[in-house]
Amino acid sequence: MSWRRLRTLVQREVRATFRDPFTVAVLITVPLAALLTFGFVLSTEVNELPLAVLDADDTPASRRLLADIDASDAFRVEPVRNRAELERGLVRGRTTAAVVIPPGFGRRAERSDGVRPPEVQLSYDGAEAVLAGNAEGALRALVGASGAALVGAGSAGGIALTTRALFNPTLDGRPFMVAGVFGFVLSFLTTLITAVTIVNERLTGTFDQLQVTPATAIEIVLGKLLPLGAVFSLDLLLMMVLAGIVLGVWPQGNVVVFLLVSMGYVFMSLALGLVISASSVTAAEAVQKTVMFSIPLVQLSGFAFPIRSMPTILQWLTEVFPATHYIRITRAIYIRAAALDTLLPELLWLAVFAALLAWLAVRTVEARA
Amino acid sequence: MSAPIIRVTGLTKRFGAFTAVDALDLSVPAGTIFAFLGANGSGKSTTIRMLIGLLRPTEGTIVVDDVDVVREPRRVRERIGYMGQKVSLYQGLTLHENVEFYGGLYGLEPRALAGRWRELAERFDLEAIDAKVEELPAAIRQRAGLAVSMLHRPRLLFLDEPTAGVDVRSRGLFWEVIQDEARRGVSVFVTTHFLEEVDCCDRVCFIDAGRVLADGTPDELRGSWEAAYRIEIEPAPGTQTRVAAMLAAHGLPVATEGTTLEVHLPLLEARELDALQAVLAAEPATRVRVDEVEMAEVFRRLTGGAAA
Amino acid sequence: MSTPVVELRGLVKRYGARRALAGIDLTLTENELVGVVGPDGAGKTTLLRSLVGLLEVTAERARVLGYDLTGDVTALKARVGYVAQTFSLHPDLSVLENLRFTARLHRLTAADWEARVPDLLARTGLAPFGDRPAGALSGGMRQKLAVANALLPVPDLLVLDEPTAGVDVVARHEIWTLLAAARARTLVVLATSYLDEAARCDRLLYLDTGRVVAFGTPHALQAQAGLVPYRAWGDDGRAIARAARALPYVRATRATRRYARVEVASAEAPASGGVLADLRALAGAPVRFAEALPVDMESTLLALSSGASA
Repeated sequence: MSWRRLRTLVQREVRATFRDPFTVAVLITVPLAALLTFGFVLSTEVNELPLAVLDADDTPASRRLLADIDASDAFRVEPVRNRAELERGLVRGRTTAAVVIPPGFGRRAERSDGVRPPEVQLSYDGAEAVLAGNAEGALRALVGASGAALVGAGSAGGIALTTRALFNPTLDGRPFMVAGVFGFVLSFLTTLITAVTIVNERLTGTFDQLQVTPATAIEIVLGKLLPLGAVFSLDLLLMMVLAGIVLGVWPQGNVVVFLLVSMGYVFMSLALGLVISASSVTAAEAVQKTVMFSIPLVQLSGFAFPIRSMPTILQWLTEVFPATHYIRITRAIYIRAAALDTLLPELLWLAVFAALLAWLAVRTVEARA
Repeated sequence: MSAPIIRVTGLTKRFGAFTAVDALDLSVPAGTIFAFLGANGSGKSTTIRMLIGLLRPTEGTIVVDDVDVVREPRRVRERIGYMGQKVSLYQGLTLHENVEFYGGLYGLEPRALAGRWRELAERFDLEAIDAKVEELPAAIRQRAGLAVSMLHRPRLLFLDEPTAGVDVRSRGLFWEVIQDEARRGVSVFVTTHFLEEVDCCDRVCFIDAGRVLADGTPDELRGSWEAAYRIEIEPAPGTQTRVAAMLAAHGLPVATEGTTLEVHLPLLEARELDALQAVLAAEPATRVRVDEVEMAEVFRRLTGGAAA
Repeated sequence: MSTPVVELRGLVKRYGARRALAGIDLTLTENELVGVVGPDGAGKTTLLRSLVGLLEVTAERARVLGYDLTGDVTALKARVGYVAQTFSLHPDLSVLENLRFTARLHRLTAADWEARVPDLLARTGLAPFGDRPAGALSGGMRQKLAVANALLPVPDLLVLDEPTAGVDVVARHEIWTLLAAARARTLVVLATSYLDEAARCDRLLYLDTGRVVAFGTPHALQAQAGLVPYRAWGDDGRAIARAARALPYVRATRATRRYARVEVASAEAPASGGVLADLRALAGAPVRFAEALPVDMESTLLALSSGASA
């Protein structure tokens, strides 16, 4: 072991590394950015959670309770007119929790004898198990505080809170995760493999060779995407079946719709890989870029952490990722058995992204050095 | 000739079922320029990598400058200078930084390094240059690569296609430098694709499909052909008989082709050269032209009809 | 053919701030074998890739086979063949499969296949290896396949980037024969670093730092070379070379064991007799016999490279 040699090697490494602006950016800014992002994202707190409320009682007491709930930071009250609307909101995924104040609440609050306490019903989307649990906790606290004031000191009981998970009644976290995994795998792996394969082809010269033939850009793009797309679609099918057999998680909604949408998403991710390959000179660079792109994707797409818990700015940002919309669709089909019409906004987003990526992919192949 | 600086016996390398190098024997005398040739895929690069300790042979022995390379591959690195096909200067660093880097790796003290570099830069015409490596033109990069490989005064240089991609003038300069080094006692093991460069070397070994096809001096390789040297002599009108007689008197086999005389020889030695000079001195109007068969032709006949 | 096959005026290719091609002027009107020579980094590869429409270029005028290089080059691709420096066919496909791939891309008919493939396979010696994966062929065979593959659609323009670099001597010769024959129906433009190949081209284009330094037949270029080779034979070629370098009109030397080849600047040297006398009189290095050599590609390219990279 020669210290002189070691010092020489270190010196070279330092010089070479810090002369490359890309590497410097990655080494310094990425950890800092990650820390800040995750700090905000890593939260399962309940904050301005949209809460659908049906006040079937409409008495001063119920209105007082609602006012208290609205005043808190935890919830944002969205009144609904009937149960149908309430359930629709939950199925659509627009609200995660719903409160029903049944008729007779006010009367019971006045009489308060501890035997038949005033009741409030909380329904929530069991798919978002963690969030739902925290929502329940927050609501209990509020109701408890409010109830003490409403019902009067000295009386036993307070407001009784009954809870019901509308979907995923066993509050099993697995369907939530499984549905999310489709999104993760089909985003990350597909993009990575395409990017690397194509960069390697550029390096060996076979990509160039194709460019000198009568094959058009569209033909070349489809020639790349179709076979890979077929393989990943098969993967998709296998994953779905395996999740069902081994984990007991089957899609509650329309399987065909799920598969079709997923296949479309696969092709989009492949196209993205192609676009990334255009800006990468080496396979290593392609991998770096894909990974850098995918880590925020995992954090911000709602795969692991609920979007509703993120600061508003980040919530807007997540809308830009196709993955976010795909994961929403997957979860909707898997857990809430959502029908096609409820998914239209998401599908529209994905269609727009798909068109954009397809156009970019063709342009990438057409572009000359 | 002193003891061989490289001695290889029965060198074999197998990759699975494929034999890249097949029982190779090599002997490189010290202080010579040894050309090692072979087409891509002939086993040439594999052999070189084994010689410098980068690849472990399947069988055989390699002794380089008294070091058993198979057992102690690291030791050989201190004794040799290596210039690979991709010139081994680091991009992103300037030439000077590269010199510092390699100097440091070889354990040269800063003052000794500076002195040695001054000397080399002068010889290789690199003095005023201190740009980043990627901004240097190819010819300069090549010369710099060779200079850097010589920083630690190795007794043996391994140069892998040092003249590839470089213009004709730089190629010539390179060989001048290499021949200079050989004169100072440095042994040079060099590979090249330009067969005419073989003539600049002392010995040549040609490998094909993992086996030695030819091993000897350039003269020996040519010498296996009767007409390796074709000398055309055009005597001035009226002097033909006299000239022919003079040549015959010196022992040269003369053939007559109309008004021209032709001499075919496997070798051109002092005696033949003196004879030609004598003829010219006696009959200055005679035109003499020596045609040496090209190395490319020699090798083509050697390998003619080789398998795929 | 009176319309130019290749017409370039002021062709420029930039990579960032660097100009790989700094204004190329070139007109080629008939089928011939054109060699592109010059040092690494001169722009040879860039020029060749531009000709087949692989690069975005700017120019006063840039037309290949009538198509504008700065515009839509899709139709051009169907009429050119390109062989890159590194093997860029599909190594996992067999010889025949590679050829079939190309035939399909160019939509050749079965009749075309029958008429061309057996002949190409015979002339490249690839016939017995039809089913072997291209990656398993030797270097020379692979390059022959690449050339055959490019010739299959009978292109109007065939561009090759150092197709014989590193290839064994026999295969080099065979590839050259193929290309020489192709020139009957195709304009062949190839880059080479081999002197003997340069000497056998119909015309040569010498590039350096992105510009055309010289263009003409090998013969014409030799005539303008300005360097004349001499050869001085003796017992120690290297010593002769060293001594010869002291002569003021000697520009370069190359030494073998037996002789020194000396390049003499014709503008500064005395007549041939004088040079020979000087050589014979060299001190410290007995010269037994000295002769003047015909100007060849080595002297020509040496002269060009010295002139350009002064």
